[in-house]
Amino acid sequence: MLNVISWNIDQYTQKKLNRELTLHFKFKDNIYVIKENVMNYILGVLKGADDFEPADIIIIVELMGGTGGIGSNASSTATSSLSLLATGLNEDLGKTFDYQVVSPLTIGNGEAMGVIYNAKKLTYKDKGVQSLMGDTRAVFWSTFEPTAASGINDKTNSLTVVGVHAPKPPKTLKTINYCQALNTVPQIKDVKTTDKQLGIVMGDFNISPTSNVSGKKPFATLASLKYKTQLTVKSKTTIKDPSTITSIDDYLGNPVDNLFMLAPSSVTNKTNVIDLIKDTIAVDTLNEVKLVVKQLRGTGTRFSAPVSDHLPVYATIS
Amino acid sequence: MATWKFSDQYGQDYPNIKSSLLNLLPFSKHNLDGDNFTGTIDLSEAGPIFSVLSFFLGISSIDVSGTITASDKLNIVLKTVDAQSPTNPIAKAIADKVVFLKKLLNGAYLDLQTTVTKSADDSPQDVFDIAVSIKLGSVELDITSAIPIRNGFIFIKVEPKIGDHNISLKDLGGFFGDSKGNWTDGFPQIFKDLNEFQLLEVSTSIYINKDQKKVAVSSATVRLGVPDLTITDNIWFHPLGIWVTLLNPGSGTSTDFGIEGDLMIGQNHSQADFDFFFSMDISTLELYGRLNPVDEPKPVALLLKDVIQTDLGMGETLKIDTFGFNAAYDKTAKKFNTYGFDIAMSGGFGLFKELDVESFTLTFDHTADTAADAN
Repeated sequence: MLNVISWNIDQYTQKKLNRELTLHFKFKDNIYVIKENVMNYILGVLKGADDFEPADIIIIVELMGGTGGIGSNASSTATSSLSLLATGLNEDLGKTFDYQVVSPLTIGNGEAMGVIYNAKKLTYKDKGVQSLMGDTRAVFWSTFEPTAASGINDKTNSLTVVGVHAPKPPKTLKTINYCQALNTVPQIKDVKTTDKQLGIVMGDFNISPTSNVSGKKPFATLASLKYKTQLTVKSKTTIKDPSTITSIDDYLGNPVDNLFMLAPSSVTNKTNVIDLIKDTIAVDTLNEVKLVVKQLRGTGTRFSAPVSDHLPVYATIS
Repeated sequence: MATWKFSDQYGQDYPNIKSSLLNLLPFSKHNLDGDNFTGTIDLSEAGPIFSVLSFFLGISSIDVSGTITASDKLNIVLKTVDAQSPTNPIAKAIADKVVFLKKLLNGAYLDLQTTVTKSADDSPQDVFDIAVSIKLGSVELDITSAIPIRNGFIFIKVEPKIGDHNISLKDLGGFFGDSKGNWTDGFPQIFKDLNEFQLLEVSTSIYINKDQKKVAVSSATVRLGVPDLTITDNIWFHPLGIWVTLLNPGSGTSTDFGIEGDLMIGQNHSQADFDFFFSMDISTLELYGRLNPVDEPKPVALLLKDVIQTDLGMGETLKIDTFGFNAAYDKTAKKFNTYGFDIAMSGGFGLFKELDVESFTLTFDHTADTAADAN
């Protein structure tokens, strides 16, 4: 069994990880306010919980990019902050996991992407970026070979993970064009399930799966390659500005993060969104929901999120 | 052993004292003389919330002293006894666990504070920190962290205000130990030429796992900076910072360093219109910055006015959504003389309204006549 997670962590830098976060928690019927650094909060999510296991593949969207353009090494802050995350995971889970970093590369727009993977279940093979849209944007890809510990090595012998961060609206057509161009990426289009290969495309697509502009659907080309998602328009992944939340269940915005998979027929998967709000204790009232949202996302339409305005997407492959 | 908590004495007048973290700490003994309080925290009876702290320090009791004032508000301010002594139990525990700090350590203490009103609707305002006093060259300062309550990293750090502490690269000798006398060898000459920096940050990251009974110091970082370093009249660094990180200090230490900071654009150095966080490649001296988010997006026209004193007819309605900035340092000319911008914008597209333009790049050389291209 392999668990994969992708999470857009708004402007993920070392500076951000060191910042203190104010959190509320309930202990013996009282609500207490504590301070904790952002790193520990993120580690807490990635290390799993009662209903999900620690991830074996982790893609963080919005690492700080490098200065050399698409394909160049990421900034030193991106590399060191990703390494620190792997260190933290190994400190706690090192007996059963061995987290390694595939060094991040710049994918454009001042942004980089890399992967943390569990070397006990996966053997790293290769990585790279592939430009889209006239070299203004790229996707980050990495390939692995599942080991016997993965439990799926008899079903698949090659795993390709492609991380994406699509252009942001308001120019929705551009976002759709980006998503439609994903079928030109060799690491996506050349996956052959008949050869026991498995492909995953995940990240922040910045668009709803049901979007349709003048007949253009963002994921039509991925679908034509037989990539499938289990997330629907109801699988919302962004967190609303707390000032716009009107009821206790009204804190999520748009279904823009997603995970698409092309796998041999013997491979199954279950994909979900991890609800950081609902899973946080002490959210019994509207005010408590707003408080938690404010702590994680911040306020306003333009903001620097204390943690993120996105929820993680999580899949279990078996 | 009978224990005492703050709610025992103040719970009736200040009902929400029960929600202060301070109220979770039991005292094996205490004394209140006027406003002056002394007591002994019984950490062994403090319950699961403080089990990580108890494991980290390896001590079962902590003597504290301070003041309590009770009027409309209840104010409690407590600190470890002999806070500024390197031999107090907390300092000794930290010197034992975080060996590289030993030579720099002046003291260590818990800083415990709360303010609570009589209203049942007001939450207590807690300060619950662990602090380490260090001496770095000629600079003495306290680095702090929130008290850890679960397994994970603690980042003990301080970010002084620019101007509070001058420091030289040489002052960091104690931080690196004797074996790193040549640690600036890989630095660009522009930094070696500067005699004095401002201290921007001192921090160390420590991983605590009480379940596996493990304390690991994973890194220590110092950031130095040069404030208000002008590129042009309207573009300046504030600060241009160097960060130096020791990985695994005390055991197989290696050094990593880089340049990052904030880049400002505006008409007035006391109030920038745009503020970027940037990171610089130390070998090529190229930097890339991203605009720090602001509540109200600024018009592109303002950027053009600030940078190239040119109006391309975009009007005030065209707003900047995201804004990337890149520049390269010319080692020969000893200045930053090439720039590029990546801007994503929204609003009325003015000059570009007939085009499907979401972003464009401006390039210009500030040493020559200004030229701008849009694509």
